[in-house]
Amino acid sequence: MKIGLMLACSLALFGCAHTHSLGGGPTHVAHVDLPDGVTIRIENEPSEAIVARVLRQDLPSLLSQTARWGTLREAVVIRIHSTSEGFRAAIPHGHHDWINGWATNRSVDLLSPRAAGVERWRDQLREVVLHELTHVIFFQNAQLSDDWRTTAIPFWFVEGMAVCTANPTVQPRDWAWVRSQKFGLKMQELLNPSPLALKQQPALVYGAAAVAFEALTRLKGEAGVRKIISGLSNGKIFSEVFRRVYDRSIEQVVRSWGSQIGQEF
Amino acid sequence: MSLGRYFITAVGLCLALTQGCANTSDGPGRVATSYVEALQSSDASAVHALLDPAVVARIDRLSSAVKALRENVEKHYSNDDQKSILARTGLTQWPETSLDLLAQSSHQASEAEPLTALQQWGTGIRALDVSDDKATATTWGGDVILLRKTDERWLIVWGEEDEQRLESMLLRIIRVRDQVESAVQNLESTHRFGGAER
Repeated sequence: MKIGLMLACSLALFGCAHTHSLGGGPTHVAHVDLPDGVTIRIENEPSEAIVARVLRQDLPSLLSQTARWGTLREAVVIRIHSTSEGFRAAIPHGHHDWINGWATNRSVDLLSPRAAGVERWRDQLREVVLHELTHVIFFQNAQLSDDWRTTAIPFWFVEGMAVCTANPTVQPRDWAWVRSQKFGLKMQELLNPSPLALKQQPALVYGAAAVAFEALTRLKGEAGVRKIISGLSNGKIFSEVFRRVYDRSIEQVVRSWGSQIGQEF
Repeated sequence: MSLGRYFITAVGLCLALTQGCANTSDGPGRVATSYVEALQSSDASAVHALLDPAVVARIDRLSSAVKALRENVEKHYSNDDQKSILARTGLTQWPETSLDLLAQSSHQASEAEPLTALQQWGTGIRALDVSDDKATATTWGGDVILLRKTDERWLIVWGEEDEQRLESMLLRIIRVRDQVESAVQNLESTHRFGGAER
């Protein structure tokens, strides 16, 4: 399945056109047709042409890494912005300076790492796109069309899935690492951070989300996560699906994690 | 020509490229073309994105050795001595960027006059030969670009000769850098000792 997807993707044809939808200037557009009829449209300003080309090259291997959570079901547009202003205009207001990618169920907006002055940008591009594509695949397969933050799906589940997929080898990812961090948050606040905590300690809250998500996959593997996604797609609420899949409530599981960082509650 | 190999001739490729978009898949031809364009426009960031990461790591090592050497030499030696030390490295001049370093590395072997990237790499891809996970692109200028498919993507790799040339350049520069560092340390130590005597 994975090999088939990669082969078919690498054989896909790329079209090309010009529109005027990105940042007001001329926009290059390319289409990547996936084997199941879904199309990824890549839009970029001329200055980011090399980033778009590299991304087109990298998409098959990126999609093979997200395949464990499902496949794209609907068309997606990836917009590569050449300026921070253009990127911020394209995403909802009020986000922190360090954000460089944003996903909905049908789109990904990226601040070009090249435009942001990253010297060796290919790996970072792969990482950001992989993170955001993981979100898109989750949103589409769980049939979430609204902002997930308005649902009861926990931060640690959504972001942990993306971090674990995009940064599989980041070290060390366990509760001992979380315990070693100096922070004044309760476990629940750490795993579902407030905007302030997100602003002040992004590395910690994203790291903790990844630790929690990995701990979840140790319970019932990736299949457990896919069952949650499937349950959400049937309109069930997260806590209900969670209990059905893991035979325990979210609170019970989070409490067991809390005890591992010395927090009993 | 076996079935596993195919050849894309200049006409189709050039037509596709002058249109600004490829009618072909994003294969080795497109990557080789992007590489030549990046070299011609001295776009180091694009060159590094298209190169095999192992080659980039070696270039980074070389750049950092050259930078350390240059800083020491400019700080402690006269202009004439600087020229003599530079000559010992085999460099024709101090490279300002990693691309300058690569250009110097590639024409060292032929002892040719320094070439600009444009002269060195022709003006586009003339032919492409693909075999499984390897490809060879030839520019109109006659330069040969090697590519390898890794993790479903085509990366620019270097041939054995280029690798050896870069490695020997790296070793030579590291040796000169270490000699200069040692000489500078001795010099500073002598100064300190001399100061204590007085």
